[in-house]
Amino acid sequence: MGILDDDGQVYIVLKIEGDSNSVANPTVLDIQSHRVTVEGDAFERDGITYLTIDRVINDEGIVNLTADEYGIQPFGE
Amino acid sequence: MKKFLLVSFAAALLYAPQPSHAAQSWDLIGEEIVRFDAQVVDLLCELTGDCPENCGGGQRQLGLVNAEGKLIPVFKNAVPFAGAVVELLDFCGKTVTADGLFSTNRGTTIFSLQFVREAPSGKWRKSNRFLRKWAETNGVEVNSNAAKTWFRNDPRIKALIAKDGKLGLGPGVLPAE
Repeated sequence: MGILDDDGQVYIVLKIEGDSNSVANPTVLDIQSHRVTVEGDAFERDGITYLTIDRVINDEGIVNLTADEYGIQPFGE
Repeated sequence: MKKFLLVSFAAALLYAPQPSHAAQSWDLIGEEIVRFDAQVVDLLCELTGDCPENCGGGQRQLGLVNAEGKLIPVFKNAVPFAGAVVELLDFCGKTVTADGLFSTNRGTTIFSLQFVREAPSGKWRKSNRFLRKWAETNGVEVNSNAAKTWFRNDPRIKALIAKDGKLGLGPGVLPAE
């Protein structure tokens, strides 16, 4: 799973709330598509930014109700 | 006669079977078909030094480090909506030949694995072992329709849809017709 911030930066999430299980993690499933505020550490390597999340500070739920802003993904611009 | 032979040769090329382990295009954004040798690593271990045995035993996202030392995250296999951890776990710490697609969107490049083998000359595997594992876990045949559309039959996904609905907005909110 990734997080897209307001500046368009993608962060690849590798750990969440102390849990390094990043494969089908229930916490990750619960916040998918939500707008969240998180606290953690970012690691940049070879042009990709990875994130270990210590804490989900705020979860606003789904705030973007349509896909209009993004178009068809990932098979179209 | 010469013309006939030329046409026949062209047709033979057109219908020549492709190598079974050659990656196929998925028409992804910024797509590049590639094959390269690289070491299978646990991404979190590579970045933080937190390194459990066997790359996390299937619980962590895996990646590849190529000959130039570049870390390449692998988030996709050849099964719809499934990741690549099951496909790479057997090769933790080993060097493999990976065949698949790079795709770049929003400045981030990831790798989708379609075929893999232990380098330099192991037997090629199609990266669809996820389906076999899912079928075993859920007590169905790997060739069953339930397994082929695993994402419609996975109990975790079904529970989430029952709780939040298909759109995630509540069970009573349905997609527009």
